Amino acid sequence: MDTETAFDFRDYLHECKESGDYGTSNERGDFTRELRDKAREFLGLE
Amino acid sequence: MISALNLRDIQEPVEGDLGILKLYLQQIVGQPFLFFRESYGDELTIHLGRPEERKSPRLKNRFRGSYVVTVRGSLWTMVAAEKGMLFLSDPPKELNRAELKKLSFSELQQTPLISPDANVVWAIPFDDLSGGIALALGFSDHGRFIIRPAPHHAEESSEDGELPEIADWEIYTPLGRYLRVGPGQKWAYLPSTSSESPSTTTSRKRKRPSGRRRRQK
Repeated sequence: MDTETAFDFRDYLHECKESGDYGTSNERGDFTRELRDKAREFLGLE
Repeated sequence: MISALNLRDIQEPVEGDLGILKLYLQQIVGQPFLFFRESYGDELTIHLGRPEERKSPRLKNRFRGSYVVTVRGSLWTMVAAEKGMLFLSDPPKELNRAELKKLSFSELQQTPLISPDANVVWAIPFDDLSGGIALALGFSDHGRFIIRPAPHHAEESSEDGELPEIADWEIYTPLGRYLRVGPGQKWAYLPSTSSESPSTTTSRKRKRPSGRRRRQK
């Protein structure tokens, strides 16, 4: 993901959050897998 | 003698050299203010220039400015001169917080603290007490916006080599380049897209032999 796309991705994540999609942290307390899934969704790779 | 700086050339990371950094910042001078927007991680972004559509279909109705200043984890202060108000992202503890009006991001986005038709009239980088590089932006409505690197951010970044470094502030341009400033005195002007044409990219190497600049006391 280039820098410009990463910038847009951050905006996309924020838009998801604004529409109530806050995500759920894993047992380690992070969102790694979910972020990866969101990135695939954003890039149209799903 | 007239000289030209190609704003499509990249500038590899350098330490200090704020005079050169100031030259790169000249491209936002004269750009109109569009809006503030909150991004992921409560990051404030300032959109300037002309409204542009996003490339991603997922962000179809979310326009952005042709120039975007991202504050990342830095502290910011804004003087809304016409309203006679000072806004602080992180008010000092000495201030009586009861007297301060709290403002949410959505209020900041909805209330134009900088006039919609105001232009950037100056953009000046300066050495900050944190050891990083701060940015002062002046607008034609006499509003001012100042970004200062958070001190803890500078320390974390220099001590932890495992995590990717997060800049103190960045400016995205419509030229496929972005200005990346911090942590510390480091800054660079780099490609922001992967569609890179080697024939139009000239790498400018300028390294300060003596390392870090001395911090202000």
